[in-house]
Amino acid sequence: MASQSGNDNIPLDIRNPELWVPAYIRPVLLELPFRVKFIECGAYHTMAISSENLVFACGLNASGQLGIPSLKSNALSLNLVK
Amino acid sequence: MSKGSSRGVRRELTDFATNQSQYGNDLYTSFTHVPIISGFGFNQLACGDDFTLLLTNNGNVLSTGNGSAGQHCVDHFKPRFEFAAVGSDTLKDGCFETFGIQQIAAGEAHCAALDKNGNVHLWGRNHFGECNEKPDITKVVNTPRVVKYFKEGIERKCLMVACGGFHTLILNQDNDIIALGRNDSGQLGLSQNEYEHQSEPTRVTLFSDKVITNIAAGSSHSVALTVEGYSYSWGGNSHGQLA
Repeated sequence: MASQSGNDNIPLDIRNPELWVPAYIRPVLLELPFRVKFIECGAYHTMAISSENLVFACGLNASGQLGIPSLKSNALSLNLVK
Repeated sequence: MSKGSSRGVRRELTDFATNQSQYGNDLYTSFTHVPIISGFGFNQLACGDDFTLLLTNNGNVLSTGNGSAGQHCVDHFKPRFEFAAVGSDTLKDGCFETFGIQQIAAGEAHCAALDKNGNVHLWGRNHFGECNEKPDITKVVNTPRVVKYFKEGIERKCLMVACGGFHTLILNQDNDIIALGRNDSGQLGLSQNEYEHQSEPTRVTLFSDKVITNIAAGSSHSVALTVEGYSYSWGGNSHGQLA
């Protein structure tokens, strides 16, 4: 979707520079399966609101900035909920 | 490449790998749906460095991500991995539920919300007074603070707010720009040779004869747009960002 051709299936291993996600030096059209009504970016993440009022996110989620609970982050956030 | 620099790179990669194993493989390289069961639609997003604010269409503000600077306005500073209301650890009982928030903004680690009455609420990191509190690097603002700006004794309403790295810009009903926070690069636009940080809202006098319609703030610089379509930039120019 957002990444360049064929990179979706490459396993992410940050220790191997050959597998790094390539940077775009020119704007690339995002072919998304939803219409975007608002888009915004942080230091290492991008968030969008679709016309159907769904929130989509991509980028780094190490601090939980995407709001997508993963298995390991769930363990960390369990004690957040009273 | 010298030995020293390659060592530096390697250490950075190891740090990242450590992060990865600690938090799981938390990189998302394509847009992924964020599950939020709030029952409301969403009007706006504001992304800080490592946290995100979300404005619902009933005027409430949700947040997720790093909370170490009080971004979530709760009594702890833990990160959040799913959206919950600012001021609460659930989607209910947030501190903005009855305020009718119209617009939100996020800086590196501080946040702003404009309510329906034209008041700006600020919270989060306050190292340089960007949240309208006396600067203190040992304290954060985790109870939203309302910024008050008076002109000739009358309180002025706000139309828009923008957050930079460590500074805050407010556009008010007089079309004046009000600035507070860090000023070591002149990002508050006060005057020449005025580089003092401001924790009190201070008017940018340079635009007295202009009608400003939009403002934005970067890490250490600021821009404004006039009604005629002219844009102005001021502050740090370390990377040519003032154009």
